[in-house]
Amino acid sequence: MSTGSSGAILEDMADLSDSEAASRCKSGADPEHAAFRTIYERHGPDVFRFLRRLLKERQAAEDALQETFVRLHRGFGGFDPERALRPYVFSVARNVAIDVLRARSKRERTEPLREGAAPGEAPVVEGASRNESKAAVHESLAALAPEHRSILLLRHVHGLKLEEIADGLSCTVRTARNRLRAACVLLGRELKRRGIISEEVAS
Amino acid sequence: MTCVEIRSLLPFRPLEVLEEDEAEGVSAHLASCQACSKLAQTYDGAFETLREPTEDDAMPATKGDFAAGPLPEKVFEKIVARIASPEAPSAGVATTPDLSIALVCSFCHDVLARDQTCYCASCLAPHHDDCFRSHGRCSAYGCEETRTVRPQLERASASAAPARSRGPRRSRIIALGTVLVLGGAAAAASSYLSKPMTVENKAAPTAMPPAAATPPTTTTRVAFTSQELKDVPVQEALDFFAKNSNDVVADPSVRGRVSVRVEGPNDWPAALESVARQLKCRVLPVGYGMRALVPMADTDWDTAKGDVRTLLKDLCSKSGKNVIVAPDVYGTMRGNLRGLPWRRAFDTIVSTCDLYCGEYDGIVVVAAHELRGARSFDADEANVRPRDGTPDATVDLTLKDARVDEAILALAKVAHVTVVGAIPPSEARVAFSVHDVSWFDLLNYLAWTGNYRIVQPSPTEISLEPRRPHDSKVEPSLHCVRASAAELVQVLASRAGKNFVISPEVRARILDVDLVGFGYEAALHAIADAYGFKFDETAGVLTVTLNKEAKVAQSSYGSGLVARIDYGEAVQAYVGVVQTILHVPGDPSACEVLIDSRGDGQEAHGVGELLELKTNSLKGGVTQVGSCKAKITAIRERSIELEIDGTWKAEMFLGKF
Repeated sequence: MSTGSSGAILEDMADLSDSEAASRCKSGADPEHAAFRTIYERHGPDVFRFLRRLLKERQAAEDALQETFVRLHRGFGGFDPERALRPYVFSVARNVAIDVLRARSKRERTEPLREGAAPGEAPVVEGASRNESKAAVHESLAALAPEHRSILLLRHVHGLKLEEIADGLSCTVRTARNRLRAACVLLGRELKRRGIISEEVAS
Repeated sequence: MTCVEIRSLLPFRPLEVLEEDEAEGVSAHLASCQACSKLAQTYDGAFETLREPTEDDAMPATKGDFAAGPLPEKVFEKIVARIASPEAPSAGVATTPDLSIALVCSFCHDVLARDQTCYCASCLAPHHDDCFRSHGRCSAYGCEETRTVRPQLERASASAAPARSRGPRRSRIIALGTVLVLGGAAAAASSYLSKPMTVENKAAPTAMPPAAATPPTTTTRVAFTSQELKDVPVQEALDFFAKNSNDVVADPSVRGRVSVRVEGPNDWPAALESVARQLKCRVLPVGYGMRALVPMADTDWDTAKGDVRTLLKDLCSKSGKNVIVAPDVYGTMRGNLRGLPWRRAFDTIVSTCDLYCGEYDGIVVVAAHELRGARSFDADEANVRPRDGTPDATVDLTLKDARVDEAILALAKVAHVTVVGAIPPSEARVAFSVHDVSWFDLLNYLAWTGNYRIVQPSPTEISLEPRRPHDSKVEPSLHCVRASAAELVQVLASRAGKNFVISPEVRARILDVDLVGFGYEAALHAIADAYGFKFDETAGVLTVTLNKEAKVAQSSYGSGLVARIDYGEAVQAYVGVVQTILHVPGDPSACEVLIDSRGDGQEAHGVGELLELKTNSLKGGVTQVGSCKAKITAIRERSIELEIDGTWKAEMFLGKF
């Protein structure tokens, strides 16, 4: 594919809706992968950011991004183009990230604990500076299980609606809400443990 | 709402996952409570921080194919390349092929690698390690196991260090070769010694030793050598077991190929279980010296948290017995009863729960109180040992696809036992080759397979009667759940041709009866004994009163809903799901009744609403479970009227009884 023709196709595809692009990918009417590229460009940045947040390591996030879109392409056969694509892409990314984290945690279990990684050693940030406080909040999020972290990110950072999260997780809206609430409770605990939130403030 | 309640809801506020009423409550509270408002602001601030990009997010803008997006370079090209060549996986990420058969975690439903899988110790549901840990127990519905097991495969692969794999492997190959040579020689010797034939009489029955109470031991006939069978027909595997340990017979329906490895003389029971698992069978001990492989059938009961009443009824219905369980029998029991003959399971439950058991002309009554008029419930199943003085001779017998009654005649011939009377022909067929097994054990197996009951008038005589099958079409049949006693006694007494009077105390009782093929009078007496009624018959009139002396707890179904169904001649059905009326608000004519049809207090119904009900209907003497739509047509002070499937009406009473 020459660059020129690629550019022309991309311009044509820019107006393509998610559903149309997914239909083309599904029906095989996308031999040049132009529709797929549109999907990638449209959702890739957000997905990459999501994966960076979950996986931390840039290389791992790149691999996961790659894997996400490969799985997405392979999964178009069973995808209903009438469904919203964005939650679906995020659900695939979430599964990929959880796979990576599982493999990573298995590796880490066989290795000695890294320095400073022991739980319960989080410093109390009473009166900490803005940057330290910010870092502590992000640490609190990082301390959550991937399932909880991902759902929080989807909702809070990427702004997915409850219906979209439910669609992506193949569950009911009520279940999605309950999972989010569970994640919130756990995050609240972590924040309290790190001194970001203190009941004393309230009393 | 109190401050404590509000604070528990504050983490949900930034994500807008509060319910509508909660959000209103929180807003109202925050407006008035400064302390909580301050805490809410802290939460808001912390959650807002999460939205801000981290250092990881702050990537330099890349000069990729598209300038604006912060996407890494060349990734799309890699993706396209991988799509074109589906086998190339990404580094660090496990991929799944387009079509695969894989284990899936019961908790997260994601694919599992076999070496990463742990299985529930109770139901063997596969899980990720961390999924199991995070859930705290097995995620299979109804399973509460907290322990896991791992396959042997993983231990083997984990323990196999690459540095020392060659030496032992080579020695294992040599050992295996030796074993195969020795095993082959042993098998050849064995087959030479015991020539299979259609019917072979090996035992000398003239001098049969008396029955000895021998313990169930494993008799090894050939010096055992480790052996491995790979993908062999099931009969070959069974022959292998027969030659090396105990005899194993299998139903003709058990077919397939199996692989098994036996390491030593004590390993064969585990190996047999492995074969059974491969064939989706279970191992049934048929006697002291024999085992049978039978297909998984409905004779397995998993009684984890089982209701005793239901369990007893299930057991009896599957065995073809009529049973009435008295209202004072209640409670739950835990345990596994797998691969047991029903009678053994039944006896276990009765004795464990300290219950009384009696029989009225074929109707078994189980009660927590002593039964007066019942005769004892004798064992009539085949799984009994020979009576005193019965010879315990062993036989060799090989049969290829014979009817069970023919097989029994052949067995009687080789065991020199007289068969009294004709054996009813059986449709079941058997094929087996056994060596040196007790003839009575084999007879037990055949009787079990052919659904016969063994009658043994003398040590050397047997006769066989058919056991009443479960789906007996013998009339009459009666099925009712929570029926009014008046209703039921009326049906039975009128069918028995009796004039009757029922006392008001009896009318208020609720009965639960499921009978197939019974005598009306026997049923009346069985019910009377189970439920503590007294029958007096004077001048041809049957008076039914409550027996004050009988200490029968009458309150096991104390409050609730009674389904009274119109007992027509043809249709016998009952509504079995609607369990409890939760609440009838003040004025019954207000027409709102809450029916808890799942026991969770969640469902509310009113007039005109449709209910999905489970029903049991009777067709040709067989109870068929189905479902129907019932519409609430009227709600009265103490009852609800339902129109079921638009054809017939049922009235359900509610109130205390």
